[in-house]
Amino acid sequence: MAAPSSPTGPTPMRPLSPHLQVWRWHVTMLASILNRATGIGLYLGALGLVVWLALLAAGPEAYAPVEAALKAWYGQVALFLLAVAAAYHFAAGVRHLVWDSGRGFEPKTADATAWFAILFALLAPIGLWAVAG
Amino acid sequence: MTAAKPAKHGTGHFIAERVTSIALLLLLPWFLFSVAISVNGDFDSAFRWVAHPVNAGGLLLFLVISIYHMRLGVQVVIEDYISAASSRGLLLAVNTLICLAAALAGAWAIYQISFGG
Repeated sequence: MAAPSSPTGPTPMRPLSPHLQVWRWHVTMLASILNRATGIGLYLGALGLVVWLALLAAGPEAYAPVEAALKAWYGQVALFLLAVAAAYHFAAGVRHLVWDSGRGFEPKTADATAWFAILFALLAPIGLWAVAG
Repeated sequence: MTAAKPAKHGTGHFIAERVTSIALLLLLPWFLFSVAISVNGDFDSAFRWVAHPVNAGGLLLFLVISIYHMRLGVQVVIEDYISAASSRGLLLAVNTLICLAAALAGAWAIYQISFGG
């Protein structure tokens, strides 16, 4: 299909996508954004893990404030959010590896796996907390 | 403002991202479940968990592979959003330095906990 020429010049009219008038919310779009957001969150989490290890290596006195922070409500919330991010990034990673094999691109399948990844991210950390007791 | 040129490392980046993903599919659940079961936030349980040779080895692998994976991932984020060659190059270097420092500090801490007496 030949692209129609613009009435004002020689530049061919190119498709404008995503276009504001035909834009529609997709769960796959949210899934993609969340994969990047959780990846950046886990970057900070990995740096936190290194700080945790360094203070653990430094001894009980250095570790005391870490212990207090981890047991406080904000520490538990931070750990839970990191677990949610890890579970989401894990599920999204599986989606990407399946896509690499050329499968899972049908819109219905992609929507279903996106919802599954989001659900998994919320449920897996609850299971983890149940194991931790 | 000049756009950054391709670095011609695309294929290696793609493969490394996949290989580290597959390794992390095993290492991440192991790390989360093992820590959830054995560590409850206090110094003793945490120290004993890291000092166990199997955990120390697994943790070192998990940490180094995670950090390599996140360096690759954040590199793509920088390349997607920062088009000016100078600030892009600077941010890529900062990303690499942070990851290198984190990997060395983490490995050093695991070594100290395992062999520091």
